[in-house]
Amino acid sequence: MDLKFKLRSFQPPKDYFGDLPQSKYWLSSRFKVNIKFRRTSEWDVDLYKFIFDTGAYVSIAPDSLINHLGIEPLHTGQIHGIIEKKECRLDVKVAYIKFKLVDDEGKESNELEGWFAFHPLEKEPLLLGMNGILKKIGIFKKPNDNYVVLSVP
Amino acid sequence: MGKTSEEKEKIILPSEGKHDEELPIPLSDELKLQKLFGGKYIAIYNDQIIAVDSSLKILQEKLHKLRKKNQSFIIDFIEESVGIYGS
Repeated sequence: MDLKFKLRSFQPPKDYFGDLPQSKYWLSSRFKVNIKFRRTSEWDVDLYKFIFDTGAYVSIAPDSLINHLGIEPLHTGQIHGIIEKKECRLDVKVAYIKFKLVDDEGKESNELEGWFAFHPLEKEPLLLGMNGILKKIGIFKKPNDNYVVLSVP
Repeated sequence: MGKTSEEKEKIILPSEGKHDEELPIPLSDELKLQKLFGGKYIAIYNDQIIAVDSSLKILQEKLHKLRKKNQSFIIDFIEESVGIYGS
């Protein structure tokens, strides 16, 4: 099954590229996917937009999402990015959750499942990482298309 | 053979094109959203923004009050600016 997601356009701040002339047509390789989660006994009604971050190992979301879903975490622990310093570590609750991807036209994938880490920071974006996800889906984009196709079982 | 300083001034970078003459560039819908709601979670219903908050928890509490039976929302986070996430 193929799901289509629009690529995001943006205008990079000048600091990034100096005084390069700005184009109307900056396209980011980052895109958002809509996710519908499975609660303990039913599917949640809300759709959450996650940034599909193929450079991130684990999917992360704020604690309030797991509380809203009413799912018990399997364990707690710490995660960190490239830098392993104490101040760069984050306490997380880890859960294995069932979900569906929903494309921009409302087409739903079959049921998928994966690990999610939930952190106490409420003001951070929702990120869908590669762990457990990239094994199951293909990502395709043609050079001139402004959308990405995810091939989902 | 090297170019004189006068010739160098005339050089036009290949990346300088039509688009520069068309300034100001109209903002895309996403950029408008980014300017208005950057760094915040938004709840969308029927393509309209219904509630906004910088904390997902508080937004969910707001939705709990607003929600009618079986009404579903799309919850999105608008980034403040272009950033680099991942590890």
